[in-house]
Amino acid sequence: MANGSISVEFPSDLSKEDVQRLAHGLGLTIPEEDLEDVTARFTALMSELNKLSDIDLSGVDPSPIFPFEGGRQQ
Amino acid sequence: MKAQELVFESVAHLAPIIERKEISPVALTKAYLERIEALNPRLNAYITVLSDAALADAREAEAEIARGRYRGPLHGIPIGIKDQFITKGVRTTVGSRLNADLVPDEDATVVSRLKEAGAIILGKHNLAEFALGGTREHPYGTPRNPWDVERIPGHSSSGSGIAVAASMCTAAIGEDTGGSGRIPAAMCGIVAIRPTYGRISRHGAAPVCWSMDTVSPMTKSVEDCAIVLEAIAGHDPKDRMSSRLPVPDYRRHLKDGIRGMRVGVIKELIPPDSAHPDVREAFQRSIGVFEKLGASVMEVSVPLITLTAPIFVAICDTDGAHVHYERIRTRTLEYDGATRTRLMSATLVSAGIYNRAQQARNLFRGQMLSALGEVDVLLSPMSNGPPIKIGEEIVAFRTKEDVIERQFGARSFTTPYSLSSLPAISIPSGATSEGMPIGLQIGGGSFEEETVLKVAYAFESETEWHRRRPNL
Repeated sequence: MANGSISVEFPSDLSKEDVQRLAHGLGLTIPEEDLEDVTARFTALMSELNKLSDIDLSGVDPSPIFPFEGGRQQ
Repeated sequence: MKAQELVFESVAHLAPIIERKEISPVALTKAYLERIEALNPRLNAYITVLSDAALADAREAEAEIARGRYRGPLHGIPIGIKDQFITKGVRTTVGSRLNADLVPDEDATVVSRLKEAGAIILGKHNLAEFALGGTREHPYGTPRNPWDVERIPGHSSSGSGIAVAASMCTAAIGEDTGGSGRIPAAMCGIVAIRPTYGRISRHGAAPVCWSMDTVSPMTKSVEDCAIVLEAIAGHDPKDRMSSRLPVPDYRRHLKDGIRGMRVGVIKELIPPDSAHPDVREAFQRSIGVFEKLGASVMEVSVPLITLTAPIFVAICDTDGAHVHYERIRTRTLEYDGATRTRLMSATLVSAGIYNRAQQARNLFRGQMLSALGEVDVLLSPMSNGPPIKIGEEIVAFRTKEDVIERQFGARSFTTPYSLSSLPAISIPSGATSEGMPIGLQIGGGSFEEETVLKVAYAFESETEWHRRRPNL
């Protein structure tokens, strides 16, 4: 079965508190001095990745590498 | 010629002189060590200098060559290694205070291969913490651009770029995940290739992103790049992702010329009006060089290239966060501020987000291959402007909009090849009015390093940019 495409919007408007709760759920405590920076980085990434929603990715494998290729005859 | 003058020469120039015994590897190594001693306090290119070991290896090389056992073009050549590669009995910091006491008990495969080729290892080069880039405080000294010590040298193979440009080694081994070899090369005015993923063993390289990490030869010339690549490429049982494809003689077709070849300018990466005028001019001038050499130059389009920066971050940083997960949880504040906020942010990326980025990566790679179906190589600048001043990039992010503007605002020139597992080389192609180097990127098809090197060599032979030296 081919890979589907996730159509949900990724969370790009999380607060610092939301981000800290998310981190806690993953066993991580973000130091207070870093929380603003981490929140900015994460929400910006989500915002940028949401641009992929306009692209049809259904049926595209999430393959990261192609180790058996060589030359142009793929 | 004196050894003190030969430090400025390329591997291709020095190798036959060493083979003919006209210069001693010991004298050459001493000359580099003197230069390192004089310049390193100012430039911070090296974290560790291996003076005694290098001189011992040089004496052995000299004796071996005297006995008529010349191993090849790297025999007796002094080389530096990015401190991301493990070295037996020699501290490997990966640019972090967390690794201040790490002394590995084996060599990375690339280091072993250099030693087998007879190269002299001068020391370990400075880098951004854990090869991630954007480090705010380098624990082993702030790396400085030899063309202007107030500017960054590019990261993460910062020390390697500096050391080659400042003639503190003949060549260097860097690492390139998202541009970490090519970017310092462009900013320091030298050559660096990111080979096809799998062309060189990653064994013994501290990982950043398992599916994009590549070893990057960084050199004074394209021919040197071919020499070093050939010496270290090839399958390694210790890296299951290393390719079994035979390693070609990369110099065999280097000087064949490029008449009749098709060079594709990536439309989406043509410097916009907002780019530095000297970069725009250098790029247009470069296109003219290829036309003069008999290539046909045409525009090609890779639409998804506009989104490669966030796709890259979603994959690379998330893989990096996995590598560092335990230490980022338990030794958080020992990391540099930029490294830890980057890794903590990536820790929050879900499997769904990661998979969507990988799907987009695969689709993007198809577009790159489609473009390469129309042309032999792809062409783009290496950046939209010269290196920025030290300190300008290390301010913490305050808002989402701040990140979007500073991190994702400009097109990424280097990550397209990282995401698509294709080879690309950065070569000097100009200078700003202030004398800062400008780089040109040439990319090619999977395992087509020979083609990429040939096109780069043709350009280099027609220009003088690679001959410039910083005034130190």
